[in-house]
Amino acid sequence: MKVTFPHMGNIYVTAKVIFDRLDIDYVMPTLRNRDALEKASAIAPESICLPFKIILGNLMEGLDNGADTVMFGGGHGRCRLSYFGDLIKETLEAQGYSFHYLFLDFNHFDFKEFTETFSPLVQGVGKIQITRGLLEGLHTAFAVDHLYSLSCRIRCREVHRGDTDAVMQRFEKAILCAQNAGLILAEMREAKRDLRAIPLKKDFKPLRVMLVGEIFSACEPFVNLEIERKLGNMGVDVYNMLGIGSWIRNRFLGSVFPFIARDDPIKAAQHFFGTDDFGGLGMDTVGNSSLARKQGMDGVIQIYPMNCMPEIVAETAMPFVQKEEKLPIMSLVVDEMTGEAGYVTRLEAFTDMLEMRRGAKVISR
Amino acid sequence: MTTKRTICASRKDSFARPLRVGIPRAMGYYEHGPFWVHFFELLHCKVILSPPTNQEIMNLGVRAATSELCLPMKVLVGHACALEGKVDAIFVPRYLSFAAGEMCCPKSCALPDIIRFALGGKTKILEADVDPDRFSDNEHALLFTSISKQMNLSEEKLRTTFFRAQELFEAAEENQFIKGTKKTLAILGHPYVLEDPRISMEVAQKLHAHGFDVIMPKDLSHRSKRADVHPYDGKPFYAVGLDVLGSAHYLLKKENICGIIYLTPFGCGIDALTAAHVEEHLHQAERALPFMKLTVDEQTGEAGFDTRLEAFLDMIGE
Repeated sequence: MKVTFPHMGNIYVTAKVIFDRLDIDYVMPTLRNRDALEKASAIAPESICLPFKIILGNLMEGLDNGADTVMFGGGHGRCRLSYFGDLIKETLEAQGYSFHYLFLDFNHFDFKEFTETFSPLVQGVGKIQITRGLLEGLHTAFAVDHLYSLSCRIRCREVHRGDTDAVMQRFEKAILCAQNAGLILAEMREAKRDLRAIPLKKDFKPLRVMLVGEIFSACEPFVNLEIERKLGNMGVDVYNMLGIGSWIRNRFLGSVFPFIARDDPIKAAQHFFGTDDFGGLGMDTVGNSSLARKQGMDGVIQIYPMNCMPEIVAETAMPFVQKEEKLPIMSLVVDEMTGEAGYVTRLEAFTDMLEMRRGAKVISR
Repeated sequence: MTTKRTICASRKDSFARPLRVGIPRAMGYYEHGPFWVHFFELLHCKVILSPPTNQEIMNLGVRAATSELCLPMKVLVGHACALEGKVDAIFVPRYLSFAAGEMCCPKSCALPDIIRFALGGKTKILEADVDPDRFSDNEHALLFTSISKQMNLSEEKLRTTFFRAQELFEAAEENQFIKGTKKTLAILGHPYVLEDPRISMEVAQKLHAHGFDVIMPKDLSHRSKRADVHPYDGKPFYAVGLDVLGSAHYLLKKENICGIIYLTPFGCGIDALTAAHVEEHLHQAERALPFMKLTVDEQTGEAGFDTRLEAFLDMIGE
């Protein structure tokens, strides 16, 4: 069995570690592949959201390159992601692909079902090795998230523009070339060391911007056109609330052990909405934005793919969050046609506005 | 909010007349509207309905609502704007699900909030939460907290009124499929799209004028709509989506159906999924059935719409 899987942010690092530890043969689709996206857009339903098209493109590329098994996950929520599984299977089969389909249910995690689905992949691998592989994968997911958030802290404060980018680029290249899990873990430690060694400006207080919205677009640089890097190079400290790590803690592990999940954003959002869930991470978006000022943020950027249902609902509340918290919020809608120049202009205008607000505050004091 | 006054209390202060409750003629109205009208009449309220959708309402909605919202939601906001000033409170039910495993879309889950945001909090919003998917007992599946607070009535009383109204509205489960000799066209879509005169561009009447019989999901019994809803059989899915999927599978087997028109509003997230499934199933079906997907939004011109419809009908006629 040769597995292929879709990309989402830095999930490929975790996947590489797990697959290597469990001796699973896999085909990794190319990162940020524009051609695959175009191919997928041609056969995908026209008004489905961008993540679907990207996932479909990844899987098609994987299958074209010799994979015979597709690994994908979904849940039972109100977000359309829950139904991607069926639609992807139908679309790929209509294109003449035949493959094994391994589907992981996120919402109702059932250990028995999980082992039944994935046992054919790990035949002949000892239980201890499997547990070790999965735990190491979990560790990688958190560590790589931490590494990227550390890079945001460093990038905006660096003395020489481009130091952080150089470290991160070298890291990404090394991960793609790394042949085994040990090397990947070592690369992560080294990247962290390198980041810490970058000379920083003293007494520099960068603008702090919180990134909220739809998880796929917030953590996939291909979709958000490297928003973290772009803002960082403008001297803005980006706090991305959406990463694989926080998602695993709040949603995946949270559904098994409810006490680890952080629910204060949900509570904060209930001030605006009379329900506790309207699908996806919509409540978290509103909740995090309304808590942002207390966490010392200067502004909030909401990012979501065109036609994302929960985030549109969240956006309707944004003018009120903005008014109540006196905190600027910008909503960015991205799709496969988003032009980079217009996007950068909006980011620059937003940053300038935040800068001026901060200046005005200092004077009035 | 230190002075929490109920609408009823403030009404008593000023002048005694029945509470005027506005119900927008959009979204859920086309399915459960008459039921809620009856519910409020049992509570001795004066129910005011907004007029059928027209261009003015559409414009109001487009101006007040967030630009990314789908067309039916903008129309709903327009209806709420049209009711503003004429009523004491606007009633918008919050449908979280219709039955176990039949959820509602995210926008439907936040209807009262979206209306409140769009109106800027000037008019009171009455809401009732309906969620039989998450809770199996009536105590939790039907929440009247907002109404009971604002109208000074106990939740228990509201619930009994609800069931009294429901008894009177028990829909007769009957298959109304007419086996006429005329050619029949199936129109698929959500009830709030197909029955709204402005959004649907009165497509049903236009087809009648061309000598076709028309059948819509609302004409089918609930049982036949749920008989075959693959690939979401037994899985949680959107209720309106299941209706469309079920109707499509049911109508595909009917001999006198000579074509399917799928009317979808721009930006509908559910239709992006169901239309794809319906199209795929039509491809696989033994019988080749003409299919047309028409997308409408607030800028759709009627002339272009008619031209596409006529071209489709010409193709069927040949």
